[in-house]
Amino acid sequence: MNPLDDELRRALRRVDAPEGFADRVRARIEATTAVARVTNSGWVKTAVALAATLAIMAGGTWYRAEEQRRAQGEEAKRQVLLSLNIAGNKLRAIEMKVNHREDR
Amino acid sequence: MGTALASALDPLNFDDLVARHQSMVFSIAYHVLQDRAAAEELAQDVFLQLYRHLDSLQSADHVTFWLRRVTSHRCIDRQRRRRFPFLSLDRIAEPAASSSPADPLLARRLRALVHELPAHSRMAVVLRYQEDLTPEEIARVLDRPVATVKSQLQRALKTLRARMLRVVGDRT
Repeated sequence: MNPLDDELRRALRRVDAPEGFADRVRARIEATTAVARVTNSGWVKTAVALAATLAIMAGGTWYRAEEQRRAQGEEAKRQVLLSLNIAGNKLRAIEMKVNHREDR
Repeated sequence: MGTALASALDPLNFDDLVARHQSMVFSIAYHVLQDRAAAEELAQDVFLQLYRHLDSLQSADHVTFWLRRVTSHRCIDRQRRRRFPFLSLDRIAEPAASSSPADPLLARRLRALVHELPAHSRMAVVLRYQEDLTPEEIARVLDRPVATVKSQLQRALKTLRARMLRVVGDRT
């Protein structure tokens, strides 16, 4: 047997886990289980579902309001372009009349 | 824990498994990380994972293999994520006199030298000398080729021997 092997076996022999280790493991498992129990309980699921529904409703309302604002903007733009078009036509008619009189 | 008590434990009862294997899991983590608090945290995480996977384990041997495997992989992952302070030989006290076969200072020095090995080699050395596993068993635990494990062990021993000679003289 190599002396270094012996020394390594001695240096790396198992040591005891710290005092109370098993109790701390058990406590962590109970804490984790308690959190899972709360997360899975009926009222938490209902609350999560209610919150999700409210969020969807709020999102829908906001989306509809945005759509309405956008449609109103589009309509206003269309009316401005129409007005400009009419004014342009009138100006052209007047210009033609003026030119016609000057020719005579 | 005494052998009689260990053999009286239910092989797949969780509390009994913790009682039976806590020293093994904690020691692997402690010898690799060289930090008691970090080793305890890691060992607790391993047993929490065991609690969640207990249904998938079929026998006491399977549990032992699973625990060694999960502990080893967690140790390697932890070292990848976090750089542990380099333990310089200068920080280790010199032996007071010539070393006896069970010299605690020599053991401490050797643990420090093991801690300086690369992560995978260190893991292999701990499994070889703490758990007395063969290179084939270490390869299964670490999911690595046997040839790689053998070469890592040889390189690690060569390095340790050279450093020990440099530190304590020609006694190994």
